[in-house]
Amino acid sequence: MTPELAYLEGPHGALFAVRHSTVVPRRRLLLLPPFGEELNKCRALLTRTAAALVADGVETLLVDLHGTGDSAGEFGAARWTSWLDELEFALDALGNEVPIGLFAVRSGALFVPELLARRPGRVDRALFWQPVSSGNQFLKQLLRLRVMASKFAGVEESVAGLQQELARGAAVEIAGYEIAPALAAAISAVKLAAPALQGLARVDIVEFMSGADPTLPVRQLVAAVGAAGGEAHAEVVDCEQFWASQELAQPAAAIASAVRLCAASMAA
Amino acid sequence: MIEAQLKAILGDVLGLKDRGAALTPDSGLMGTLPEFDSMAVVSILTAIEERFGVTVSDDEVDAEIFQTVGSLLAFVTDKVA
Repeated sequence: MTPELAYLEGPHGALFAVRHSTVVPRRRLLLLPPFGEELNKCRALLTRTAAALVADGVETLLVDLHGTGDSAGEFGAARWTSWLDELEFALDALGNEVPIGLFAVRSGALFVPELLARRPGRVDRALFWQPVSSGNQFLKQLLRLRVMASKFAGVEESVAGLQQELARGAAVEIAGYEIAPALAAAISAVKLAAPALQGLARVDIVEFMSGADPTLPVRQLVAAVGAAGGEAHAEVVDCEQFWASQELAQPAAAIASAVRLCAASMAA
Repeated sequence: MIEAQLKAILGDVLGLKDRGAALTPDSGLMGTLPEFDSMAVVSILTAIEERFGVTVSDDEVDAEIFQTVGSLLAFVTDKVA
């Protein structure tokens, strides 16, 4: 199945879109991409996963957010709210013929609460791949990436110091991405928690690691969604950490799990 | 329990495959394994935070804890306790 590539006229300029579609779709998913370098590591896997899903009647749409990939704009000018505007626009672009879901990868999960709040009832399920659940912790991890890279280069920096720079209104560059203070502040304010997921008929959370139980934050999230009357499942797939691995990884087990979970949610 | 999970993290992040299972507390990390660069340090700390539900601040982190599997294990055991 060959994906359709297109430039959409988004709310903040041209949006590069990759759509996998089929003649008789059963469901459509909007992909919520991970941040920065993680998307580059995941892109090939996401394309293969989309190809496997569409063969099963599940269409997907992936847009490059403002200032990323082949879309318009500079990363340094990217803002959290404009990315949300673009994802909301992409949700609309999915039409109304079949049920719509979200497929969030890593920090893409942080878009989910606001997106569901903006468009209640638009989405009935969400699939998470190794979700980042705390924006604040995620931002610190990004800053730590810079601190460690500096340390290896013999320059002493600290996460706290970089946070102060951001607070003073200065952008911080991390691994080639210039992060504006407003973007950093918005990211660190987001938390993926059970109340935000209310209204979804089904939530699936997949973590990728060597045979172990789901992590504590995921177990807590699943329990909280369940307690609020929702249906949530967590599973662990034993394969490479494709968003972080030094060599591009496209684990077949990850693709298979996405296909299986989507099929299960459509049967339910 | 913590040791097994830590070895799993190291194997996952560093892509050690079969070499991961062969790690012992004496196994050297930084300066021994070619895969152990700054990116790996960050990924390992992230995995530790996510899997054990703890927060690591950067003033706790120095080169010494990444000397061996044993030194990293001592650090994590201390965090989780």
